[in-house]
Amino acid sequence: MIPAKLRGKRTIENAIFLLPACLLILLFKYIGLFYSLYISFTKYTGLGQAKWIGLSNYKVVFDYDIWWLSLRNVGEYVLLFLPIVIVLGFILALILNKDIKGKNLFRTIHFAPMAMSLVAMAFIFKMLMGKAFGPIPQLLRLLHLPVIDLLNDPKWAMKGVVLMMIWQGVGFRMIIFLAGLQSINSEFYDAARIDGATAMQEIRYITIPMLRPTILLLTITGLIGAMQLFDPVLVLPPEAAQPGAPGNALQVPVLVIYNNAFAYAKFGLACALSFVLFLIMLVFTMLQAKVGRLESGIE
Amino acid sequence: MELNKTKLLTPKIWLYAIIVISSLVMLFPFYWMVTRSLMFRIDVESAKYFFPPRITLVNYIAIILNQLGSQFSFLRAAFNSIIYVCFAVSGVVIVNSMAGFVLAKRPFRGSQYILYAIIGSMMLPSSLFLLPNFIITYKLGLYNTYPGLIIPCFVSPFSLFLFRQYMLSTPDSLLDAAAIDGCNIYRTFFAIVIPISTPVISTVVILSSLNLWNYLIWPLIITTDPKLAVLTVALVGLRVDIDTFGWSVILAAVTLMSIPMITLYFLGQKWLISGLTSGAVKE
Repeated sequence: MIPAKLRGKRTIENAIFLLPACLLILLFKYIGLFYSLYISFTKYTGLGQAKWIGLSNYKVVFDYDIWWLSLRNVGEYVLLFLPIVIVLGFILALILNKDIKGKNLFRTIHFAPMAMSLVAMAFIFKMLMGKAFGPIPQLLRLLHLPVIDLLNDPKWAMKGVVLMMIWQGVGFRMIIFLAGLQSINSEFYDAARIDGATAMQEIRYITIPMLRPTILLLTITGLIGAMQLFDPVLVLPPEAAQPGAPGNALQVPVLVIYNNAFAYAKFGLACALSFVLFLIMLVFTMLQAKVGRLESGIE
Repeated sequence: MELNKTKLLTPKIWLYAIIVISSLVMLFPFYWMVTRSLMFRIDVESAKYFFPPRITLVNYIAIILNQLGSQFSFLRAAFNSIIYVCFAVSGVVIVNSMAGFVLAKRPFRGSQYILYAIIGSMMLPSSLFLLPNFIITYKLGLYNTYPGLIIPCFVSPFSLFLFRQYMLSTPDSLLDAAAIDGCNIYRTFFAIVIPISTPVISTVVILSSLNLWNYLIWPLIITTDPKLAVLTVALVGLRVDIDTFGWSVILAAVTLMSIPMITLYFLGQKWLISGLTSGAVKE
């Protein structure tokens, strides 16, 4: 139909439009991916030639205590952070989905920390939680509660990060839940009301099941985001200490990767660690998706 | 709205109570940041005041004029951040809107595979690409340069996807009319498609500006020269100086750094929310 000459022109035009994006994605995503897989089988200091050493880096990973500790730390973080932030976001969304005066203002306020950088926020929370001048310890003192040190006590440091990240992340969950709530057909609620369901029953038997895909999505993206936690652990540790302090309480996987590459010049090991981290994320994501499907299949 | 008929057991006053208290908790860190940055160090460290007893701009002056002898100049870092975000966001918009347009409106044999490859790369976590991108940029000789900082940030499969989805709804009649009037593809794209795509452009501009302004790890690894440090990197550098400089100065820097994005957030909240909920995936 189209003459060959015109088709040729169309192809060239398409190529001009597509090439910049495609070349960049090819270079920085796909070539990068395979290149770092290759690097993970080598000894590479970042300078000179990479030397093939087979699976040695992956063997090192198995006995790498700090690495497994960092995964444990991030696990502790996820188990605290995700349930709290999802439940709080859900409750806020339920409230703001109602006929409430000023709901736009409330929504704006809860979502505002999204605009802050994690670095800036970590500084603010370091001030808030600091034992000397911080208002949080002062409040605890005022209430005659034990004054916990959310910055310097290895037992509590990760809870400090959780606190800060909840403040930052609750608005995002709220917004996603609000979008989900608005997509639920109101006929379900009408029918429930005719049957005399209480508000709690409506939430339990309509809202939550209907929002299952949203909850699954937030769990998976939250998990992936949490495994890559990095910024706060550079800012929160005490001044004299290394990132990851106090103790090794704030050692997180990305920090271990960062240190191996840029402090110890072990790019091979760092790339291997990145892949191990990726595989762990992949397993969790697939498990989550599977569990999500199973549950919705049963009901 | 129909939905709002759902009633909770609790009376409405409780809902107001919860949301107001929650809002106050959310606002408190902002309040603390701004008020402490406007106080004298001695007042902050006395830890006696909820409301500032007196107001001063001395911390802001100290940080802007770099009177503290930090290795980072705040103005320089702010300049770097502005350059970084402006160029990177422009690149993200130009590169990805063009590709999104072709994938949406000019499909050809095999173009769906390109789309799959792009969506596929979106699924992989960003930590996986940090080291290879560093090594590639380094080998291209762009380590410690503005292009090395900026160009890898053009890669944004999520933005490409948003552009493509939006441009699917560009009416064919409009494109045909342009072709009949003798517009070539470049003219059609820049004079017709781009102007009617302002909603998605706004979304991408706001999402990328926020992400890049607040981005730490890429600028941290690709620039080690203090002259090239962006605000996040310069601020992390201040961590070791908190005791020397005092909290009021640090929080003045934090406030200054946050003002542009808070402003952008208030101006563009609508676009930001539509971007986050349409993909429902935050990169």
